[in-house]
Amino acid sequence: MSYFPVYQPPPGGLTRLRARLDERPERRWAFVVGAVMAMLLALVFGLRIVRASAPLEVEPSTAAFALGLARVGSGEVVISSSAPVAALNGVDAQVRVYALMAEVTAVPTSR
Amino acid sequence: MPSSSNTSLARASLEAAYLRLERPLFNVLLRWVWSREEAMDVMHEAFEKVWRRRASVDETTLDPLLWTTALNLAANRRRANKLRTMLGLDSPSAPLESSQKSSDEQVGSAQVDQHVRKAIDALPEKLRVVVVMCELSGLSYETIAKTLAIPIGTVGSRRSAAMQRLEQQLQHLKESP
Repeated sequence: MSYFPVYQPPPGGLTRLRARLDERPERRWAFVVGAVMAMLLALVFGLRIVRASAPLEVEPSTAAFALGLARVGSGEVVISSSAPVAALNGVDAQVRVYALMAEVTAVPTSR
Repeated sequence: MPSSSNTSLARASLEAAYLRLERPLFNVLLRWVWSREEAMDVMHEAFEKVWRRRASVDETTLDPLLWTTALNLAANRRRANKLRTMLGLDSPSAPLESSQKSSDEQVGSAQVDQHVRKAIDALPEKLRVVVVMCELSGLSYETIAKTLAIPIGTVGSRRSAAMQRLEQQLQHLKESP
């Protein structure tokens, strides 16, 4: 009794191999590059959103300085902190502060 | 592009190797994956893999390269199949007996085949690869030793050890009428 009987391979093996060899190779690298780019973009935008929504502390002196510049200048200044500030240091005005990445734009809404 | 130089593999050489190795390679791989379709797939994958690296393939070492590539792929496939079966994603493959057989293959029943398969499967991989290669590849001990990167004496000893285990495990088949 043989433990290793010999089986006949299915017919048409060479034809199938030829077809397989002639197949156009998959462009896997294109998918990899696309996926990496998408991940990088997601990372960049994700970081921007996280940083933009992070609470920033505003010291009264900074806000007042910004407000003062705004009153004197063109109505828009850049300061290094952010938060809605109203009527600081006796000035009857409101300041909206927008956090955009590391910089903050302070815009007086009324004077 | 195919080339006729020694360091680049020609398509005709690969196809000639396929015709030369199809039957023994298929039979060896069949003892790894136990499915005709999978054995064919692994064999084709090995040829395809070698073909992709044809620029660096030396035709004089083509056969050993094909054997080692196919055996590695079969071992990977076997591990993946085991995992799938363990996780319940796949059922064990059907007995080979149920597939088409030629006249010289009609030896034993499906039940006997199952016992033999279990016994071969139970062998440690080092013994299994040697005994299957010795029985089915048609290669000399020397070539098998080179292909598996083991000493020629180890081929003989492992084959004997494997056959002993098979004899022990399948003794009951010989005793039954």
